[in-house]
Amino acid sequence: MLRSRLVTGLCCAALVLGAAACGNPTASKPVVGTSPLNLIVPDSGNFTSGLPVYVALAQGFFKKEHLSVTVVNTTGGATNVAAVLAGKGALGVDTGPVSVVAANLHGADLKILGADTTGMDILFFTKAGSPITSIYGLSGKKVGFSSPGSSSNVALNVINSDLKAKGMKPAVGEAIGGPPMEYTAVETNQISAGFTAAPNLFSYVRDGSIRLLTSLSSYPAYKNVAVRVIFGSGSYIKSHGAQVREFLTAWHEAWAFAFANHAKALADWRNGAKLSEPVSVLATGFSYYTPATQRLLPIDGLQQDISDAVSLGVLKAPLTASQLASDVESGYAASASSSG
Amino acid sequence: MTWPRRSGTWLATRAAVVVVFLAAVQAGVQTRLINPLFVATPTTAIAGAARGLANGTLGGPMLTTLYEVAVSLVLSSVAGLAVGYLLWRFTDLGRAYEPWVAGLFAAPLILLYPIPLVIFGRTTTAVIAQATVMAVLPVILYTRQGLAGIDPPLLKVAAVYRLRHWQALRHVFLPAAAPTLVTGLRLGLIYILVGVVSVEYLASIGGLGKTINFAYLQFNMAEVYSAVTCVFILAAVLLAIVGRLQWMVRR
Repeated sequence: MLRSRLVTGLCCAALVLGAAACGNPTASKPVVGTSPLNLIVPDSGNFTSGLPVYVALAQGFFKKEHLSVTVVNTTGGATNVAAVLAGKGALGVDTGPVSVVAANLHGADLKILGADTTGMDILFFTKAGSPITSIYGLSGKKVGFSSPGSSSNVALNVINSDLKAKGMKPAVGEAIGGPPMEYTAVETNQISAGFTAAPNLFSYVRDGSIRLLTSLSSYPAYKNVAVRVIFGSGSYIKSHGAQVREFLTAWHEAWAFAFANHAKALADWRNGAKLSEPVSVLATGFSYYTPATQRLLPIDGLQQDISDAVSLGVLKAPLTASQLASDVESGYAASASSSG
Repeated sequence: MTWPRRSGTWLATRAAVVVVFLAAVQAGVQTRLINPLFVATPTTAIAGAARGLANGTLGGPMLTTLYEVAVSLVLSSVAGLAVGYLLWRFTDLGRAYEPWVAGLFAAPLILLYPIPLVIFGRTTTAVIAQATVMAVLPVILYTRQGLAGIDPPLLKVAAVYRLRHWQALRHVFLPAAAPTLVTGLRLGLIYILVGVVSVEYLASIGGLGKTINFAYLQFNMAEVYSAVTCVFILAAVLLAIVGRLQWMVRR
């Protein structure tokens, strides 16, 4: 009796452990190809990373380049860099350049390969019933950003500069996480305003439950600043140059396809990332992003990023031009842009 | 009775284990067997902690964490002792609710941390609330267990002297149950330390946990481990104080 119970118990434990070992909730199944590549993607619901990845998977751009890409999701910001450093992926997308540079200053070997998004696209929002109607209402209030050194942290810094210039108290930044967590924090009054980027949370904008406080024109000085980049592990780039070029080529082609075929691209993204938002909401992303904002090269405004990092306390001192140049490896993107 | 003196061999053995472990980590990081991007050398961490405490960069967060721990300890002790007493005093109540308290104690309550954030906002009160909830359960269980485990002859002594209930509680029951009660408080303190630093880290609020989170996200491992050293110091000092209390009670 006891023995049979023991055997049953052990079988159950083996089944549970086996299922746990087989499943990885953050990774999708690799597609058929020849070179495996784990890609760090902050949030598959982000237009600037989820859309090109799932278009490239669905339309076979990775496969054409002989890549078998596995998507590994993170919560964004510095966690992307940590994931690459920990070996969970060789390349990462949609990441603030400050996080990459900060890691290199502490001994990491990472390279910025190309721009992911150029131009500040962070949109701050508040609850529809909130008395805050403009960024000036954020003075002294708690406002969310994702993590130190992220593009949302930089955007909040810009708003605080505006507030200080008008002699007002700056907003108090709170590191909350990505847009879904920002929404929860705003709705439960933990913070007065949070951030998003189109079309994340736009179903709530559309139904009137949240109100945007900023637009793309809120940051004129950042029109030509690469706020997020594509980066990779230096050792991987050195040993797998061909795969890096192939990845960037597929990425470039995916964006070109997406801008030429909105409906197909949105369907690929929605199905691949298993998004629940209606296509009409996801389509608002095309009102915010253009081929110019999603260009791989040139990687503009890195000095501005570094200067922001210093003012945010993420970096202790500005980098010299040669230090910054050693963090960038744009040759692969140049080759990919010309071949793609 | 005096505070027990530790023998030289006992102390040397304890120190040797720590020194050998730290030396192994130091050598591992310096020879790059352990990636220095993720682990700072112990000498860097200890020097960073000393510097941070001296110039206030870690002293301020440490005081915040200490405040949260202290308030949580007071709240969980008062509530835990009171509820534990009630569960012992009213037997039916104890039978009905002790399994629930024990079940909750076994649950990963740290996962509930968003609830205090929603109720109290992103403040130290939310951290205190979460830590108090985690710590009150062992205090309740050990209080009931301590009172229920009093030797029957002591109960008879209280009856013989015709002590009123509160007199018996003050002069007989509490002294008899004190060692178990203090063990509950010590366990509660451990859960408070875990709860406070975890919520600070997860929600980026308050003291040392927030400092560790921010330093990690900036890949500043020297600061991460300096702050972790401060957490160890805080835990060691507080546990030593409760250990001393435990010894005094058992005299």
